[in-house]
Amino acid sequence: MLETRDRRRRAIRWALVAGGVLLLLVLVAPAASAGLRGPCSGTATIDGVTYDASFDTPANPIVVPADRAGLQIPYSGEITVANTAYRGGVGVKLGPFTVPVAEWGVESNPDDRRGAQGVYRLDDRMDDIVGLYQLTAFHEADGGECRATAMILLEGNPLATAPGAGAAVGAALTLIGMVAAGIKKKLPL
Amino acid sequence: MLGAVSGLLLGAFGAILLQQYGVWPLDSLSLFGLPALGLILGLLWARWAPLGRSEPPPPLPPEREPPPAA
Repeated sequence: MLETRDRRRRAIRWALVAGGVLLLLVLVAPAASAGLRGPCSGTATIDGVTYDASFDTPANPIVVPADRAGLQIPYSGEITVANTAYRGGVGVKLGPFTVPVAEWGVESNPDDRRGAQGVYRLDDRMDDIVGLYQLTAFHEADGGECRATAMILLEGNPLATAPGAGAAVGAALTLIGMVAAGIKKKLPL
Repeated sequence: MLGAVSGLLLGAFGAILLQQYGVWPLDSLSLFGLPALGLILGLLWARWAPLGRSEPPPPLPPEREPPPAA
């Protein structure tokens, strides 16, 4: 009987320590940020605001407005080292995985062009996606490589999207489950 | 058990809601950390929550006591 109680106390103590460590991790961990590494630079202008790779924290994201149907985004980028035989891509981080959303294959670029600019028209499929996403990008060439991360906030009403509405309903149901778990039941004799 | 499962799922749904509302992206920390935290808090909650605590039931009357073993 005493042994069982000791074992239970030890388990609770361990659970408390583990919970405390996790809570610290969640509350104190710095925002994922790396900005830009390598001999590259670039900007994009959205809704009159010019963004670069310094917009890389949840508190300081690149903001795409809710009314974004057909949004045109002027951009420019350059690399300061030899840009022959380049390739690169952009991905969205979801947990430990990176989902590629755009890539450019190996281009020989014999003229060694080191800059690009243009206007990107936002895909209509982006209209129904909201939330905060971490983007990663890379560009590799003969002269070197660049890696960048940025946060992008797609504004909009989360409850009007399937993931947002589903998560809200799920959270409400599990909250009810938590309350039910906390109610002490009369044990039969 | 209910507390652990509810806490785990609440953490997972919470991580999605934080991402959808633009508070925190769905990174490894929120995707694994919040459900794990929810699981532990759910276990502790189920054990110590002060909800609906009832008086212990009265003892059975003597005539309903089981007969002593021979």
